[in-house]
Amino acid sequence: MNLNSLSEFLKKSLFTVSVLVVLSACGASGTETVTKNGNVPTTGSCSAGPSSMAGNIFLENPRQASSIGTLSFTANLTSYITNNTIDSLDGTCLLESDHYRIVSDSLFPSKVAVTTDGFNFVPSDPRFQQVMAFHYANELKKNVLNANADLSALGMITIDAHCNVANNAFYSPNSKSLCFGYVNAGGGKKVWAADDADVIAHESGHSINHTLSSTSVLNSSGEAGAMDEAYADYWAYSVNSNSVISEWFLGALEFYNSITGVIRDASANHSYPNDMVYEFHDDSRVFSEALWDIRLGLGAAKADRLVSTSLSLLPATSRFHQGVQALEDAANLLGFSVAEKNLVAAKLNAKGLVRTDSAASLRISTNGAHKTVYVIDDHTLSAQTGGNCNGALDVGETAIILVNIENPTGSSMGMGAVSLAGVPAGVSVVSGGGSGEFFRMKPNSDFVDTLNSSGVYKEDATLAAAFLVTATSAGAKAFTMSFTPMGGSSVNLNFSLTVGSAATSSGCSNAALWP
Amino acid sequence: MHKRYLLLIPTVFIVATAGFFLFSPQQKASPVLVSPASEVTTSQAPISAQSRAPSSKALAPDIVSPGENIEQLLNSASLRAWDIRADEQGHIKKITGGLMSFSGKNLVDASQQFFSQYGKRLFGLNPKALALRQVNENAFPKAIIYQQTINGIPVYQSRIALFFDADMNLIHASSDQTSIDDKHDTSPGVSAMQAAQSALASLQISTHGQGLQNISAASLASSSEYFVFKDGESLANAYRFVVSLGEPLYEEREVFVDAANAKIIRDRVLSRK
Repeated sequence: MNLNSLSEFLKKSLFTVSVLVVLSACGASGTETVTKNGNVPTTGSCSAGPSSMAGNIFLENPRQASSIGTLSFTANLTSYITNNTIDSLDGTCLLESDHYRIVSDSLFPSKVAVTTDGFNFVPSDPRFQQVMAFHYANELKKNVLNANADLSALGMITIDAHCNVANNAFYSPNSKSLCFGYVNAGGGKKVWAADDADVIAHESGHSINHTLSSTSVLNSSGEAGAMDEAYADYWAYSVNSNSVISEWFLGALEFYNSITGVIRDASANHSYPNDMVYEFHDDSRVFSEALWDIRLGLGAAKADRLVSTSLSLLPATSRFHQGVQALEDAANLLGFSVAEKNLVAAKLNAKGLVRTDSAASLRISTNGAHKTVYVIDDHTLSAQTGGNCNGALDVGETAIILVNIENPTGSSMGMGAVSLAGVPAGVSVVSGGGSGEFFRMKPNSDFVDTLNSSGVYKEDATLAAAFLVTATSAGAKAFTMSFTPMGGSSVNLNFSLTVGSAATSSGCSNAALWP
Repeated sequence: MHKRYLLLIPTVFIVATAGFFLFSPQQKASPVLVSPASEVTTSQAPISAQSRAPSSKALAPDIVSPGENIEQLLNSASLRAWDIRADEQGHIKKITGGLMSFSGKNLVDASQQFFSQYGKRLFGLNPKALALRQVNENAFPKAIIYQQTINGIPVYQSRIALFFDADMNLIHASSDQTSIDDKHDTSPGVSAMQAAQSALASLQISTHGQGLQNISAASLASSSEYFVFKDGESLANAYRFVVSLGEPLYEEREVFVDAANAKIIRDRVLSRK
């Protein structure tokens, strides 16, 4: 089912562990005081400004630039900056190129960088983060163009280098904007996302992904979202030639929120499907690690071309299976040698991504401790109506139905797509509620066992796998669902429900309804 | 403690911004607008060199013109070298690995020639029901993407993409469209305003254990778009909205609302972190 509205809210995101933040007057780390005067965009002040000029940046981020892996997040960072060439300027005297621009700043509206002031700022000056964000977004763009990709559809992306958002950075395909937030470091100090080129390249990478593929493709399944994250990580690798994503900003996120496991390292060894938890960023690791391994094997130039071409080949509904095929097709179209194509296939295979799963043995759960079908007739989703929270489907209810299928074989299964193939009279399927995806199946287990595995985003995975139906008449009802395994042939599974006549309700809750 | 439970959420205000219903179904979605997919799986079974000329029965009837022999088509000189993949219903989803020459001056010309020669036979295409959505001419491979439409309304995630080399030879094509009844009624039953209200209201839902009432603000961040939405073999007409959520989530959500009854069809995070 596609109605996973609840769980998305509860989801941990890559760059986010959302905590309540009350913003006080804030400044860049350091002593600079800034007067806010409203977020008024700066317009181009000239038409014949320079196309490039010198500017200060970090080489990747403060910890990488300093070679101090434990560098304090509140350290004075000035000694770790590098003077570099800031190019791609379009002559408006702003940090503006053909595809990225900074014309305003949410937290420092009176401090928008212009060429007339030069770009040699220190990290305590908010314009330093603006130069960083602009520079690394453009570096990525140049890499992708060098890979012979067409970015004409990218349009103009507006960058907010000090977005008023804690523990977060994001790309909005709707508003075509990039937001770089901060982590509160205490004492009024902040660790800026835009001090970290990995974060900049990752978020800018999303804008590249959504151009070479499309927002709809990359939102077409849980694994499509994971591929979006994996490709974004890949672009960060390509800019910084480093397998670790965000030692600085995500490092601060971990440190100040007392959590671990947020920083990603493509040299790690996750495998499909056992490491899948149904969360975009966590699930991206296996795919991004494969892309990193391919890059190490093919070299940067060929790998960049492979990755950018594969993005354009992803079909409208994509999962890892289609992602693997897109990479293989891209290798063919680009005329890779047999050895190179074999390398691509081997790296994907090593991660467990090249699969032909069989669904032939799947059956409805025989685990006596679990239900065969979970009827979740509460009010979790707005689309649910009439639920009385008794765990049975009653006439007049629109409820979530999770079929607990079982994999009795000794082999794990990757993502399977399901749809309701047969619906009895007296039950109707709500639009959008007739299809779904089971993110993986553990060996010799049913889906509820898989849901209860460590780290799994259970609510998300439940909603994604479930159907949404409305009962209009009582009695025994027989259904058929089609299950298509990753790379394999579909099978039909039959299940049944008895529709009752208990009174409906306009509101109730019962956590026990959930597997 | 699980990370997600670090969420501490303030109070909800649903704010509908003005002007979000300026886009009526009659105005139709832009053909170049990115539009998307149903969750129908596109399992692609390879047609091997030995078996790549399946009987007509193995392929969906709508890809074969009356009286046409599909085996003949697939074994024709122009298709023999191609790797052709179809789903289990027999719809061809992808052709790759071959080369087809066209005399068109540009991608649009070349793609139209492809459609007239092979579109109906391979993909069951009705060229009149396709809207040009995207052209990427400055890359290798060059790409042109068309969107399937009914009565001018785009079918969500139903498209065909053609890829050409620098000499305008077709080298790869993929299709996500399926057979759709051209008589499908695309008229909405509810207005865009009603649908928008429903989209916003959906964010006020309660949950088991976690309330969502505490998002600081939710507002429509886009005008509506109107689609035909596929869910398995079923069709619905749907409005699409982007809803922006405030503190502490700061995210955009893509919400599809059934145009028949204002029920939510799909609700997903759109912004990428």
